[in-house]
Amino acid sequence: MPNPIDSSAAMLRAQQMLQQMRVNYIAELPERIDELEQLTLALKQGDSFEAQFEELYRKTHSLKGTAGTYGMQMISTVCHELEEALERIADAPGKADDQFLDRCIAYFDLMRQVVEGARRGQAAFPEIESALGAMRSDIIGNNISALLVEPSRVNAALYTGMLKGLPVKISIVDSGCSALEMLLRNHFDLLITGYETSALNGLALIAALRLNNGINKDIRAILLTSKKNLVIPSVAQPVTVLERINVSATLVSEVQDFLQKKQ
Amino acid sequence: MQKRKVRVLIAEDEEHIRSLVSLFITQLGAEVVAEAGDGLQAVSMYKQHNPDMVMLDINMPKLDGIAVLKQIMEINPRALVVMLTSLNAREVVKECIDHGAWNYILKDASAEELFKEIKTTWSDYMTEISRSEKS
Repeated sequence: MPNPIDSSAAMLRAQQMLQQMRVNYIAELPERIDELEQLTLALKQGDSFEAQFEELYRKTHSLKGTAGTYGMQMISTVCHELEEALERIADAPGKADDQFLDRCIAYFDLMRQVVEGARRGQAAFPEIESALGAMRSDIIGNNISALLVEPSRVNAALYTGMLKGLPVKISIVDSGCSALEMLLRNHFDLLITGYETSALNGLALIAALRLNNGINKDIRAILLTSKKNLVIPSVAQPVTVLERINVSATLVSEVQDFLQKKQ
Repeated sequence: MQKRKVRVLIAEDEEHIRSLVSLFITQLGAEVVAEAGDGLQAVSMYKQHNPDMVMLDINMPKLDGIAVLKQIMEINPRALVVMLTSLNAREVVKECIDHGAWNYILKDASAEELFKEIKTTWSDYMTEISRSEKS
C-alpha cells in the first residue's frame, strides 16, 4: 500500500513556495500578453485562420485560468472579455477587422496596466473595471450575456429555445453553487435562475450576489419557480419572479423589456 | 516495512499550473514521476512510467484530454485518472467520467482552493486504496 497522506503543515510549506511562484508568474505575464497580441494580429492575415484562432483561444483561456489561480483576478476578468470577443469571430475570418483588432489591443493594454499595478502592490483595479464596463456596453450594443441556472436539461433547452432570436448569449449551469462561482468571476448582464436549484437555491444565489460587492452585484435577476406566493427577502431584491407554469408567456417579454431598457 | 510513495503523472500544457499541481502533490507525500506538456506526451509517458495516478488536463494541444483518457483506459481499464478542468467545462467533465475518469479537480480556483481540492481528492484516493486492499 502507498504511504498515507502527510498533510500536516503541507499547505504552509506550499504557501511559502507559492509566494515565489507568484512573483515569477507576474514577471512572465508581459511576455504572455505580447504573445497573445501577436497571435491576434496574425488573425487578420487570414492564413490558416482556424488553427491560429484555436491557438489564440486556447492560450487566452489558459491565461484566464492561471491568472485566477495565481491571484490575478483582474487579468482573468479581462481574458474572459477577450474570450467573448473571440467567440464572436470564431466562425468568420472576415470579422477579424480593424475594429476587432483595436478592441483586442485595448484589452491587452488593460492587462499591461494590471501587471504594472500588481508590481507596485496594487490589489484593486476599479479603473480597469470601469474601462471594461465602457467597452462592454460599446461592444455588446443590443446583445446581452445571460446566465441560466437550471438543473433540468429539458427546461434549459426549453428556455433557451424561447429566447432564440433575441440578442442574448446564454451560458448554462446546472447548480446554484456553480453559478455563484461563475458570477463572482465573470460579468453577466442577466441572471435567469430556477428557485429549485441544487447546492444553493435561486434566492440564496441572488442574495449572495447582492451582498457581495462584486462585478454582478446589481445584475438584473429573474427567478423561475413553481411556488406560489414565494416570499422574497429584501436582501435579494430587486428580482423578477416568474411562475414556471406561465413562463412561456412571460420570460420572453421580461427579457425584451430588459433589452429595451438597456438600449 | 517502508511504504512506497504514490507515483503520479501530471499532464497539463500550462507550465504554471503543472508546477503548482506538482508542488502540492509532492507536499502531500507523493512522487511526481513525469510531467507531460501535451496529449501525445501524456500517452507516451503513461506507457513508460505506469503511474498509480494521472492528473490530466482536458484542454491540451496535439491530443485533447478526452482522447488521452480513452487511450489510457484502453491500456489499463483500471487506471486512476483525475481530470483537471475549468468551471465552464462541466459538460466535458461528465463525458470524461462516462469514459472512466475517477474524479475531477477545478483548476481555475485560487492556489489555496486548488490545494484543498487536491488534498480532498487525495484523501478519497487513499480511502479507496485501503478499501480495495482490505476486500
